[in-house]
Amino acid sequence: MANIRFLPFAHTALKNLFSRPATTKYPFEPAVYPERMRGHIEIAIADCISCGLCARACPPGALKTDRAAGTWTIDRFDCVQCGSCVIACPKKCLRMAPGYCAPGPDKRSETFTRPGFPPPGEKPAAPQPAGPAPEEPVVAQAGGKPVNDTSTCVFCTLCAKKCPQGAITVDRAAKTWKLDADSCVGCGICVSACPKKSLKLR
Amino acid sequence: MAKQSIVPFGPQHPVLPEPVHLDLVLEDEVVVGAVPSIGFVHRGLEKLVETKDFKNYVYIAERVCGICSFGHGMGYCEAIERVMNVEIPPRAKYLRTIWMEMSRVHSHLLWLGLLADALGFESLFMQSWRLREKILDVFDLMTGGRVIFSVNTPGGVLKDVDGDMLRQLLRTVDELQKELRPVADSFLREYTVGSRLHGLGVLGPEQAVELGAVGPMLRASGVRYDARQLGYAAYPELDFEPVVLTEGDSYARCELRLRELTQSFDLIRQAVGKLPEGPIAVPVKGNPDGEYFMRIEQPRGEAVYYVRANGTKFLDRFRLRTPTTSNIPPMLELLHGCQLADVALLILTIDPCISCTER
Amino acid sequence: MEPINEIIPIEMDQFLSTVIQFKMDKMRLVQICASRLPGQYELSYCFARDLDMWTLRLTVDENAPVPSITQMYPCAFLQENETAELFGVKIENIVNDYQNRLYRIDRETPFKEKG
Repeated sequence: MANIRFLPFAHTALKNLFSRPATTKYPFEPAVYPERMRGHIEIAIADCISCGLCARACPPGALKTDRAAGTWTIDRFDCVQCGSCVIACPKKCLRMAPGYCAPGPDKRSETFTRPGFPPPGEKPAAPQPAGPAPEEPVVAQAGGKPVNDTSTCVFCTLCAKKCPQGAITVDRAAKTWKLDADSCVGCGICVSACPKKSLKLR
Repeated sequence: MAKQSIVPFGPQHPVLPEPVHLDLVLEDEVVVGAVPSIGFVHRGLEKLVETKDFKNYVYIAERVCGICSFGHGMGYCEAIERVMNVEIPPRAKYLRTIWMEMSRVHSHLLWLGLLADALGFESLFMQSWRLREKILDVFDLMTGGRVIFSVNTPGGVLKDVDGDMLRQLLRTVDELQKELRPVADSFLREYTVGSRLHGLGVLGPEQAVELGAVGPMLRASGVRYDARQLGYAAYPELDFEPVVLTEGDSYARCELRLRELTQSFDLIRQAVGKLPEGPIAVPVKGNPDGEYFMRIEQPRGEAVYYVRANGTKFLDRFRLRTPTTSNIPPMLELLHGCQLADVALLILTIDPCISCTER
Repeated sequence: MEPINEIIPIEMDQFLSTVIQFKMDKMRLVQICASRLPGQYELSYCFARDLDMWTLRLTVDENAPVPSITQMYPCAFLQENETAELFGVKIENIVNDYQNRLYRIDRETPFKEKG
């Protein structure tokens, strides 16, 4: 019984009485998130090329891309905020942002449409009659697989280096260019990397 | 002979947040037999490895458990790296070690809080978890997550840390060490705590080995085995001795975890001091082919990661033997002859994680 | 010195006697694991003493019975039940046999088939 101490927590209790609480009054005081916090995924949809690499890298399968409709869909309730898509994205248009996803009464997904595509729900509009179509940057239209025009190709291997899937094999000495069509996702990065413009997506 | 009765215990129990069910055979108040039954939360995560890219599976591996998450991701990556003969950069090794030890700190503080809660010592529970919150804040700062970190990848780590983060970490460790002292005192010297723990559930060294106990259970029984000595991550370059106690009772398991906290503080300081500059990951090319049994020391004990690859990007088999799988048989042994009122406390002293046992 | 981490292939007739030998050498059962081969199962039993680990590797046909090691290592019952239930390995005479009722799952032997 010798080790019964008298009011061992008196010191802590007194200290707690006169110091600020360890907790914050959350809904009234905004929560401060560190910069690296993995809260939710944000997309700069204008840079997206609908390559689908993010959807392949997503462990729970929360992402969907539709190349024809130019959409990127995320099911926020399936997303586990692992950041795998952010690493996989070849255009770096995905970002992990601080702040938790809002809860909701039902599961639903959120769809983003690339500029130049009709918003979801609408019928694909007929090509606009008036005005020339906006000038397409070299990479903007992804779709199809790259085809090499060997007459202009200099076998510089830049396309092979840039390919996020490692689907292109270029042999400088033998002057061959090979595409592994199964692993190619048609992201079009090789096309934009090609200094001789000899690659085309088809 | 007294009349025997069977009392169901769990899977929902006020003291134990784990989904384990026990059929306790009682003679009066004394437990004479216990049949465990798990399987309420089997998710089949091992099976998913056959349909997910091995590089993406690490995100699933670390989601097996909410407390040992860093270790599961790291164990899986280390196993893959062994199969593929990848040597990760020294900085990645040290970062993994730092995060592993931080995980140990937060896991042990969580356990101490649960123990206090099981004893009905609410303020001690609150104090332990208040301390745990500090280490979680540093995790949030360094990795972007509080319990699921997603920083491991085959070939290294995904996020680097800067000087500010390391200073914040060291400051927190110093604070924790100072503030842990009165809390540790209450666990080790308080009469009420001691009277519940002393001499409860004694496990001898031979018994512990025979029943396959791991981690703090094994070391509290006087067996000197700590999987950190196997030499993964940066542990071979750090100076530490496994904490070993000989009593083998619940009090020893509590004291051991408190001492391991101090050891982890020391390891974090050493690792931060020696943290080399350089890259944090090497690119991993190709697909694994081969198999490996990897053992690492989780906060709860030794965990085994078995990886069997076939040269494609999908693995054939991933097996994760969690510490709790090994610790359930010794726990059943401890229950023999204990009082009904001590059952929850004894189950708690093995630091069970049933959800990760079932995967 | 690197700790031993070795896989020893073993035949069925040697298996139980080796386990008994390990038991007498005061080894700790680390884990039991099954994996699938075409028409066969590969069972790995890991045993450790201090830092060294040895794995007994048993290859059995799909319907061949496998003796339980729970007589020597009672603590193996959870993992043997799991192997029997998830893979459908015919493990016989388990002390504490759960008769495929360890996990509450809808499908029988979900790990037996690929995918």
